[in-house]
Amino acid sequence: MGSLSEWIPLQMRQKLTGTESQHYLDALAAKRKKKVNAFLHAVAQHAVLISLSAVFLLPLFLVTVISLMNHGQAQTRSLWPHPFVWHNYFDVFTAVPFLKWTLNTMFVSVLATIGTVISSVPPAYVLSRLQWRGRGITFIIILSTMMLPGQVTMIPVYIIFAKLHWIPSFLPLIVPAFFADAFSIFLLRQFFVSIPDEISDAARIDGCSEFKLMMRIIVPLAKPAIMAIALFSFLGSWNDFFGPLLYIVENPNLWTLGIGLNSFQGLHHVEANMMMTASVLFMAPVIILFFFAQKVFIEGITLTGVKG
Amino acid sequence: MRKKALLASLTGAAILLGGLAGVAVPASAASTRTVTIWSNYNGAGLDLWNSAVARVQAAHPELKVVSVGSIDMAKSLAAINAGTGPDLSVSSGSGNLGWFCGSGAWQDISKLARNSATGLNLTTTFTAASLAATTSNHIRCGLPLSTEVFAFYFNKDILAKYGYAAPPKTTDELTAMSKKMTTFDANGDIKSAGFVPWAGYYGFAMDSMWLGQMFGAKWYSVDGKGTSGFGVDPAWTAAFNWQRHFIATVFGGGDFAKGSRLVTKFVAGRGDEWGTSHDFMTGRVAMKWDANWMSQMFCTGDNWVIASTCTSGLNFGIAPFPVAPKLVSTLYGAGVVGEPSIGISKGSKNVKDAWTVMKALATDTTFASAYDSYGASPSVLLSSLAKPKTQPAWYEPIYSIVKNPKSGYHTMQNTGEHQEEGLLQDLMASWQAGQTPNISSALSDLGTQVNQIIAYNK
Amino acid sequence: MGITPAALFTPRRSGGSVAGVPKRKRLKRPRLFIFLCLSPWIFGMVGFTLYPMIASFYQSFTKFNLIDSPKWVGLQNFHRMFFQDPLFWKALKNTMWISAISIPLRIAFAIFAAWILTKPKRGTNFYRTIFFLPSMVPAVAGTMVFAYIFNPAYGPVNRGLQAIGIKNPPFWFMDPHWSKWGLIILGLWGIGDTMIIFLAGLLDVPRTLYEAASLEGASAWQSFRYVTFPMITPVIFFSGVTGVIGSFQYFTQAYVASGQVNDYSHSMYFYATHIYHEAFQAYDMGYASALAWVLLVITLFFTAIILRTQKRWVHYPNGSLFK
Repeated sequence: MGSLSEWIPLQMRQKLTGTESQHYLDALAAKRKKKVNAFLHAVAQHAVLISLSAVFLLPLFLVTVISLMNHGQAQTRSLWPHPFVWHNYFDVFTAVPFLKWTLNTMFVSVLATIGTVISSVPPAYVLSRLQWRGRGITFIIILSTMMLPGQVTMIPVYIIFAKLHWIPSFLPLIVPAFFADAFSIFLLRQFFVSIPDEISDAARIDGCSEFKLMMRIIVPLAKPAIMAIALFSFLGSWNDFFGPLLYIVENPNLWTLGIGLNSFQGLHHVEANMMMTASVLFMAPVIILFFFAQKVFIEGITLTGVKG
Repeated sequence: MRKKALLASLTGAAILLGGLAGVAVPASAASTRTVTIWSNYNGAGLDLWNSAVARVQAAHPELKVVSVGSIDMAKSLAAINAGTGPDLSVSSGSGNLGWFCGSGAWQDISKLARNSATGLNLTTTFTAASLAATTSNHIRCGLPLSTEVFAFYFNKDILAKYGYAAPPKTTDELTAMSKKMTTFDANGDIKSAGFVPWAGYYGFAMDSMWLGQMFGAKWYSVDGKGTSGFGVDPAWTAAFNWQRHFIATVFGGGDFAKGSRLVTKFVAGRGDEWGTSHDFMTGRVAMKWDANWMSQMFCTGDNWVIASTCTSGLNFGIAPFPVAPKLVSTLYGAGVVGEPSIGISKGSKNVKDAWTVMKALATDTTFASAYDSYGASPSVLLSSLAKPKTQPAWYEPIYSIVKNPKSGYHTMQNTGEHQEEGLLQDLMASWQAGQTPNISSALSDLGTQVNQIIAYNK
Repeated sequence: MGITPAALFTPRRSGGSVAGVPKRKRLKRPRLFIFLCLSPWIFGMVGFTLYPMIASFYQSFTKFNLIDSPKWVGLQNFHRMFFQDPLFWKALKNTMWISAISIPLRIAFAIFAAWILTKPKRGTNFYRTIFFLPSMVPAVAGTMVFAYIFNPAYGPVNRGLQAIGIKNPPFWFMDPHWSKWGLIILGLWGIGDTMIIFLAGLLDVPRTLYEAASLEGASAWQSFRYVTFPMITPVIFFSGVTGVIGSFQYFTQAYVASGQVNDYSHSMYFYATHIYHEAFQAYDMGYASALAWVLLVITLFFTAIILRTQKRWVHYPNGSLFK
């Protein structure tokens, strides 16, 4: 690549002479070359990142764009609304019972989240902050239930709810949440384990009851993990399709957003563009929630601690 | 000791309460002459049905008639099989009779109908086609209630533009006319089509049934036994081969694969089913199989308003199905007509009373004409009172189709809800996409499969 | 990760500790408290897992339509499954095919996306957010969006493909040969959640190892192959196992997509779809239970294979899977 000294300005070259300075010049030149290489690498990396980002964002962009078209245009090949039909976002509430679907989904999600949190924290606590016989086995059992395909238990569970006359109703979607969830227990346990033992020891020595220790000291320390499972639980409920499909599809008054959106085609007076509008409204709360809580989400996932 | 007794009684109480909680059957009436009716009518339709039930109740004060709506047919069937079902149930979808009848869930009522005192002269009360459609395997187990009529719609303006004054009567005419009326755009894609014989063009899943109707193909009992006709009746092979020929000729310039591709794309870009963007309304397709109740939408752009003069600007007509050329004299004039029906459950404790109620409901002309107006469901009663007084002239062909003795539904057998229809539809879709190399053997396999299902369900 | 309020921190006592309780002083173990804390889980476990498993096992030998009481039929359901049910084989084939293709593809794509996220010095959070976002989207909405953009007549994807010269782009969901690829692409779009755990795994690789490698003159590929890859094998293992379990239960996207098009050839008909259909559309609960148990056996089989081979290719910094 020619002399390295090409990398150094003429004036500098003229100032320095001799072997020592030659070494200095070489070192300087190498550093500059490295910088340029690094710069080129960064450009390449960002180029790849930007194109990947564009690919990931494209469907979201497209759905937003189509949601603003009028129904004739949505089925042509145009990619930009002419005109912008902002009205779609109002019309979707009158064309289908969108508000009811949203409230239903919100209701189920909030209650299920509450249930998950209050029922999963105690098991995680005793699995991590206390020692007792059978603890290891219990943990393994919990882990293995995470591996069970849902279909194996699905039908008898459905029958239980059918015999209780809970179909169609929200109860089968909410009540099981109050019986703890393996994934949440697992995630919380991983976090609890990382809280130093000394904190518990100190409290116990001070005569603190176990319950108080859990609620007053450990739980507040575990806020990030609890927020994480709350968010995952909420997200899981909000996005859930199969549960509602099984338990509430018979009563249109109870429909959640997933079921409602899926049935769009069969409903009168609804067109492709409004289907996209509804999709945007369905995705929006989750996306907004994500933006505000992304750190929690991401740390939560990494908490599952693949390393063991 | 005491503790044990207490524990025992608590446990006993818990079990008792649990048992009570498990009771699902609605409280049966104290009176022994109760007749319960389950249906899946809902909304305003249920109101009309309940008025009819009220009229029956008023006429028969010695009975207690109870009507429950919004119960889907699967549930009714399961309950009947479990012995906890109603006395009467309504199969309010076409094509479900076999499900009820073939499984024995509904009783044979021919004896009840023949009774000189309390019976009913079926042939003077109902259309011949509806009577045929409410028997399964030669067993009369239901009475028809109302109908769903499928006919052939055509765009008069587009036909006139190409010099046609009347809709096609034969399948050959249909092919020739469609070829003339189909246009292509600059990319070679189909711009507008004359006719589209394609499974799944619009949401019905009945295209294969309509295709079979044009060729008089039999679903069952070709040889008098209750077995599937798919592999046995040559009309099916003829029907599917006609479809392939149509696609190749009209769309592909002789090339079936090309035609199939183009139609797939055309169908993917179809206008919305509900509303003025429907392909038939925009002229994107000139002729179409469709249901009678779509005519409201074609007429006014609104699905639920029947008007005597049409406001949508679409100049359309209704006609019977075109048929294979050699069947013109015997089959032309018919369409496909499905009958919701009513029947008496096996295990009913009040068969005589149930028959009284059923007879009254099925011959209630007030209900028939009101339900026709409300739900676009022409009655099969021969009485003129069953027809609403104010039906527009352009709608008349529907009534002619209903009265035509060949306008039935395929005969019924003991399969699941529309099960064999679904399987046939899948076969048609596979065939039209070029995925089925040998239609005869595929039809034969389908026949075997259907026979297996019937055997399994016995 | 954990919060350590300095105020509560006390120096470690000697004598070691056994998971939270110092050896020298054992406080009375609060048995009742432990039981109460575990009770929701225990009841849930018994009522929603244990009992249903036993019940469904029994039901798989019966003919049961939900309202009748179950009728014992012995092995008839299994006979029908293997010899008389073409849909069973179709569903199984589809499920195996999509698992075999999408699990490795997803892992590879997740590694790639995570790897590229570790590279730049600035803006990683921004890109990470964007990559992760689609995996949050409800499956129904995502599938409908993709059904639209993959539409052969007016969808932007085919329009774009035609613009770059592909004359007859595939019909995606509307073509049985391409529909599963459409589903795979939809799945890759939602790679975010898998990618994140790989990102964590990649960031956990000690820098010292990379420095050592570069001192020995390793190229970028060699450094990846001999340093990065072995260190993330635990994550690959985890993704593999969860991938197998998850893909055998794949339902929502396929169900919604096949509802949007006319999936006559059942190209998007998977094992979970078949179970759903048999249980809740044909009301044949006994048969559906039999199908579910066969699924369990198949899942266990493949999970066991992965578990068995893990010793050979998974490298654990701590020595083993269970600490």
